[in-house]
Amino acid sequence: MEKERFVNEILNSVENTTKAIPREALFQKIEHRIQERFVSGKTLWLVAASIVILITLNIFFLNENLHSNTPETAHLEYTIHNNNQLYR
Amino acid sequence: MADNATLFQNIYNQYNVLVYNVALHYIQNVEDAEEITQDVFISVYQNLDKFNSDSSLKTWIYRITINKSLDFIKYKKSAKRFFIFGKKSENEYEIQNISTFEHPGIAIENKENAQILFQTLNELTENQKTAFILSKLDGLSNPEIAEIMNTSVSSIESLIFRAKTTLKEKLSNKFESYRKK
Repeated sequence: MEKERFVNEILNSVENTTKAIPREALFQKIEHRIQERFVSGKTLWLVAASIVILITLNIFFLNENLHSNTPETAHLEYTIHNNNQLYR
Repeated sequence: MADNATLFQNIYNQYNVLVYNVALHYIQNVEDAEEITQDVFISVYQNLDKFNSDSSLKTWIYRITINKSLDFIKYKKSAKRFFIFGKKSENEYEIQNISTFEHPGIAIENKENAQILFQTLNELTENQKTAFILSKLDGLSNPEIAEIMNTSVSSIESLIFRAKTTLKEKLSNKFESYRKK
């Protein structure tokens, strides 16, 4: 009898419970976390785009140099060779 | 963008108490319940465009909250197991933290009994605990719980019945030790 009363009292102890209210600052915290995630995502894309642009530019200039380097070097070699003839 | 922000604020205003209380009933810790509430609303914000309007917004938010709470409990349990040979004090703190939980919305005269109920609630299976919390603490009807848990009303009736039976058994076992106190 006493045991039954104990069990029932415990089971009924949460009846008429009022709702707990979260702190008012919680919404600001959520907004801040959302902004943080949004900004970090944006930054990540910016970094990725910068790397791609950098690699493309590097490849472009490397190609340019490879194609235009040969005649210039030949001319340079020739002039240097000529200039090096100090005694005739 | 501004419309999205207003919509999100409205959703938060409408459901923050619901989310916080469900999380509080599961986690039984004020700080952790706030953490779960944050996670739930971030998830709502990120997935708002993917929200399937077949179910109601309330049902969807309930599901997210329950899943986040259960994930959090699993994470805590695995962290406990990981630390079992490590820092003993952390384990003890966690156990004490849960066993001394006082629901902020419960009347003073019921606090002690509610504490025992919350302790015993943690010994139920996940589904029994969910059905009991939603029915007894959130005051939802069986069809509403069935929709949230994606099952039939008869299954919910059975879950609540089994939850109450198990609670009664466990509380009867605890009776002797509490009488001695």
